[in-house]
Amino acid sequence: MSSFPNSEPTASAPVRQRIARLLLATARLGLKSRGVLAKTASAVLVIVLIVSLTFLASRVFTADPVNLFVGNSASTETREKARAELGLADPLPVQYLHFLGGLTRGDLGRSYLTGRPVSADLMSRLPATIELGLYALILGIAGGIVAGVLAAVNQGGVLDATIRAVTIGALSLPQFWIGLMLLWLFFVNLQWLPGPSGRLPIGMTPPDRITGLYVVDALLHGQTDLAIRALRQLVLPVITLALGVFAPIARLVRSAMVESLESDYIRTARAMGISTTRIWFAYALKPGLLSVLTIAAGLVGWVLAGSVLVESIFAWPGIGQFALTAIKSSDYPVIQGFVLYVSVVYVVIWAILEYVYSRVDPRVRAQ
Amino acid sequence: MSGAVGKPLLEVQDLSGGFVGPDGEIVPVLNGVSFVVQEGSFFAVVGESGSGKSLTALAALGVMPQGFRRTAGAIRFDGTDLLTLDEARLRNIRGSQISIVFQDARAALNPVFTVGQQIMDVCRMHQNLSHREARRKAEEMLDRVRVPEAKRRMRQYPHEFSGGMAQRALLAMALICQPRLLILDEPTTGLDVTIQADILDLIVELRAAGNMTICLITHDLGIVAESCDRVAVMRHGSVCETGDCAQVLSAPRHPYTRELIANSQLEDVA
Amino acid sequence: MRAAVATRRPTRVWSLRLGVLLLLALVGTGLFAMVWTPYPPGAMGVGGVYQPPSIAHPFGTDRLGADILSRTMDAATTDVGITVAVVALSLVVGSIWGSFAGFFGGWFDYVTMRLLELLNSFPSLLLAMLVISIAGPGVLKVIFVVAVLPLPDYVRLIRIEIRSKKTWQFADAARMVGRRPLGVLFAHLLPNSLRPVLSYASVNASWVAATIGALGFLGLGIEPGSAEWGSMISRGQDAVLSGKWWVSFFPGLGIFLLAAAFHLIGDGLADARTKGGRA
Repeated sequence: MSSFPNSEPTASAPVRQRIARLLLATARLGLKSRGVLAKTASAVLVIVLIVSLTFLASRVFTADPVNLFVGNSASTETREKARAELGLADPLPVQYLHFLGGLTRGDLGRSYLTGRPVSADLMSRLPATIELGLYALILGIAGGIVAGVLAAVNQGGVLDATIRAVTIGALSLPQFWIGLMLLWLFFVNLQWLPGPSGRLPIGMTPPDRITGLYVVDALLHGQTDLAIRALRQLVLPVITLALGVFAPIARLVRSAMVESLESDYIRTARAMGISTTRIWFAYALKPGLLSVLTIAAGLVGWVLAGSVLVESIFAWPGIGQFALTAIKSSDYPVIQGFVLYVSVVYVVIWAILEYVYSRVDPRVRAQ
Repeated sequence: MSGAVGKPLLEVQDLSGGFVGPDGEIVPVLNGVSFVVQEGSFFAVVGESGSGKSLTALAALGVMPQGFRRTAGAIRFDGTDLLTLDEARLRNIRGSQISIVFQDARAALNPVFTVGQQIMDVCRMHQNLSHREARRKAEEMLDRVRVPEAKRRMRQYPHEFSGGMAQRALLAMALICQPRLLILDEPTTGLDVTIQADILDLIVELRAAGNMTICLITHDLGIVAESCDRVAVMRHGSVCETGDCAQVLSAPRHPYTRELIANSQLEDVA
Repeated sequence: MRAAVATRRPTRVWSLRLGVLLLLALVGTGLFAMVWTPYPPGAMGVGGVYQPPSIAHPFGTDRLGADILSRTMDAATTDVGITVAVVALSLVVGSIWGSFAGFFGGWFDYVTMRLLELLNSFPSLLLAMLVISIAGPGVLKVIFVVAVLPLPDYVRLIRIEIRSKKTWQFADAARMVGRRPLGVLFAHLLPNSLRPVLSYASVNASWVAATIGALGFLGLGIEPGSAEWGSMISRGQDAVLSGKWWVSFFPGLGIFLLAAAFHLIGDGLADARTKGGRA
């Protein structure tokens, strides 16, 4: 599932087609590979394939990374020495085997730029990205569901039109631009929120690590002030990232809800005197939530991609920023580590979704 | 055909209304529908599809489809005009005082909740019951409508039910709060003939046990002749003939009723 | 339902009209900028450095004293042009590929589906970033890469339509009067299968506009230094943080309006279809 094209539903008809398609695809996947072992094997295969393609592409097509170390004017001798040290002098298949061997040991090599082990760098930056992405997902999904429900039950009304306008706006706003403009408004102009200084204001010490999420850790240590500071740092990047989650979900929930509100089973629920809130948020929403699950992987992909942009604007020390630096300077080991991380997240998310889906939708479970 | 007649339970009086058309004008569907359902009776509303009979039933529950507007008339239940009640009061009546069973029960049940959950929801909404009590009650009710293995069936989803079983489950849902009036909207349409008969027998039996008033909406005069005591014949959104069932079927006064009877080849029944 | 249609229809028509109007305005700006801009778009020092918007420079000036209005107009040519080219490319390639896969089925269809699944197992924008960082910047490369990414969706949409229609009677009839299979496909089936793809294409176009901008912003787009909205925003980043909002605001507005135009059109098209299908 690609991140962006699928995460943007239009009005009901194409969405329904896509949902149906995804439903079928999901069900087919489940049928094709029964058993945890078979599923894990196919997941690992996909990951290895993606990582290998990256390996190949980065070795074959890019500029010579030796330049990063010795400069363009270095003598051929120095170059070849550096090349040998980096393991780039070996024939490609040998390099590839080295790479795969390292992979099985959890060794992703060392960054050309910093010389530090890539896996350690990725792990140390992971909590920052998780903190950002997780809150954005939670905020975006919750907000999107509520907005979608409200729009659907006010179908044709002022609130519906407003939400429609807001979601079209949110879908059309370039993330990197809205982040910058929010900074200008709330930091430069109104001075309500802190500037792009990463996870904490400059000079503050992070809380001792328990989960790695600053707000949670600070609260667990009873450092309320620190938690609030960390939270304030999060507000703008999280909103920037959440907008892109909020809008497609709101639209999808709306169209699914409009459809289910007209259904026979909602008429039954109403005729049996079920309360309005229960009808909205349970009887009509649950069938619609299934369609949200079908785009959930796309949304996670979107957050992964978005984190690259948002982290670079807010100087957020996460994986996205790390990857961007690597991409700009052809730092292969880091790029490969990043690709591995993204594909692992993707595959895991798919697996989770497939499981949740089979749990939630009785019709899929039955097949 | 007993003539056991009590006081009026449901009175539909001069009900008119229609759908809002594209330019805001109202396209009439109901043109002054009037009939009275006496307490304890087995009342039938007969008519072809599009005659407005289902719409009248939905109006009695206040669950008209979107876009329907009432222009005149009243629907009184036990003396109170339902159409003047606010949503909260109406909600208290729906499912507990007046219940309805729709046709195509499989579509009328929510596909993503278990059947048990849906039945339990109805009685928990109207009665202050614990989860456990509601479960027990729902199981009993499924038993009573002759769903075999009620306990296991409770945990199943509507798609695991056959049409006839789903119709029974829907009946259980409608009856769980022991309503005074049960509206049956074409309850057997689309089912196999034998299952149709089973369901009808069940309804007759439940009515006898529960002192319930029934309003059956159907296009099938055979069913009417078999079980009902009063009948209203509807056409083009109004009632053209009403009266004692045996009398209307044997000596129809309105030409449309005659036509209906002729079409349904009822000679052998009536 | 009937009431809902009655109240919904005006907003839908309105949305399509607004979208088309916006798009025409942006295309017009892009074309117009090729012949005339208020100042030469590349020229430095036509005004003071970092001048806020004024009558002489409605969008202000940047750190080199260049007129931002002229540069934004100039960039419209690039961004609108690339977006249209990308969408046209994926639309044509996706339609042909998808109709072959749907029409002939068999191993070609199988290989197609597996390929698309692989392409879909990685987030698009990240894939674009990686590929372009490896392949290097350049207008044609950007167009090619960004056009390939949404291809799975195009292929799938067309494929499903064709598959559902290839057994239609008029296709059979055409076959019986002796038309060759390809003739049937392109003369009868394809034209009848384009609607869902067209409405998807306009939603996809807004993604393309945003992606082109994002790549430019990250310095991975077309040659650095050329007038492109994303890279203009990127270059204004520091200025915005010291209060000079206009440097990044106007180019961003360009991306926003372009994306919004396509979204509105896509919405309108989808609605028109729903309406036609239900009424």
